[in-house]
Amino acid sequence: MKSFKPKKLEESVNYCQRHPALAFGEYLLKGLIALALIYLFVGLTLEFLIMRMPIKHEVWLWDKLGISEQFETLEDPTEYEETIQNYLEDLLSQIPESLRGQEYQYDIIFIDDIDANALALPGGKIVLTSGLYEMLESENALTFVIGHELGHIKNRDHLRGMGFNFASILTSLILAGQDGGISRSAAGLYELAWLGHSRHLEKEADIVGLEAIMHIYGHAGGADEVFEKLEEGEGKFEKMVPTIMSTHPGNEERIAAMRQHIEIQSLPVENTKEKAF
Amino acid sequence: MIDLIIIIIVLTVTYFTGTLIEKRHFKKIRAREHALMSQPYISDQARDEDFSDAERVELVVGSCVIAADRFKVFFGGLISIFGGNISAYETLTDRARRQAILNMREQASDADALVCTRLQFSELGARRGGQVEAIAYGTAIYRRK
Repeated sequence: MKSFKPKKLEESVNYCQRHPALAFGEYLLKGLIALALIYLFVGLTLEFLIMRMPIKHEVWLWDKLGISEQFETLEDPTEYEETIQNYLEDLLSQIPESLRGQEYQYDIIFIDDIDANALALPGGKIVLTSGLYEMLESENALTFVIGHELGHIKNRDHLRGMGFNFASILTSLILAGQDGGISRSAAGLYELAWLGHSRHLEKEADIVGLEAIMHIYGHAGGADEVFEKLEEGEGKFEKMVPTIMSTHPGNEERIAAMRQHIEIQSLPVENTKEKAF
Repeated sequence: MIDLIIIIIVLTVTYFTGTLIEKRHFKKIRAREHALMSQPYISDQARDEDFSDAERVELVVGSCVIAADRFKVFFGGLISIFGGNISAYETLTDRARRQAILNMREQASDADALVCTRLQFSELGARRGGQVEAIAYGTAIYRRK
């Protein structure tokens, strides 16, 4: 063909010559900033609103959602279980009004479960397992646990937890239709942020527990007993899970934080009182 | 959390495997383009050419389907949130286009001219994205020897 002149091929101009990893880094950074802004905006707005929500409305909300109904007092308790239930109720009643947060209907439930655990249910119910009761030796440590769970309710941590869900739902709506990996990454990052926040809330609740034993016994003895016992009971696998993936700070970290707090505040530490039963 | 770890691993692995595969593909494309450099192919009808001595003409079609790796799909999705040049897919479409043209040209490697060449694209697997088909077709003209 007369009109066709072969020419030496050059590099294509049809694609960006920039290194893909650099370009990816730029967009990843933009994405992370956007996520952080949404999280902070939604988180701070909800925190602002939550702290102004009347407690009776919160109690009504939890009541409607019926979360607390999963745990009820033992239907046919043995004499021993009844004694423990009364003992725990007595310990709860000793915690002063100032630490309780008014208007919540506090209630403590002793359940038969070998797992050492205690939890605060939204609305005012505190659950304590027989596994945890048996594990603890002192009354001070028991009161600390009750105070800690009470702290979660008083600090309105359940409502604050809902803030995380809102941020997560909002982001998944924004990312609707995107590659599933992106939505899942965003959800994973929010989970990490929430876990970090959750660990902070645990430490705040620990302080309430400490204040409770300080008020009742006049000293901070027994404040770290529960963490020491939990640390002793931890298996190899549990120790391998990094703190970053956990809702609670590591036991060693909590013991150190508690001791540091006691030292800074110059709180007295005396011998603990043995459990009554 | 586990999802995030899996995604990071998948993205890292597919970034390296995808880059390696792409580099090799471009190398092959360049070599094939070089080998066919002197073959005339145009998108025009070449009206000023005298093809009265043409012995036969035939339709030649070359096609190619290329899939993006997970890194590119993720990256493309990330860019589409903010808008802009989806550079992650540019190499993909360039590879598909060039390979489809080469497949077409190689079928008519002994033709005297390849005229009226056209190029079409279609997206495959629209839900997942990142899979593209390029079809190149044209008319090969063989002159009487």
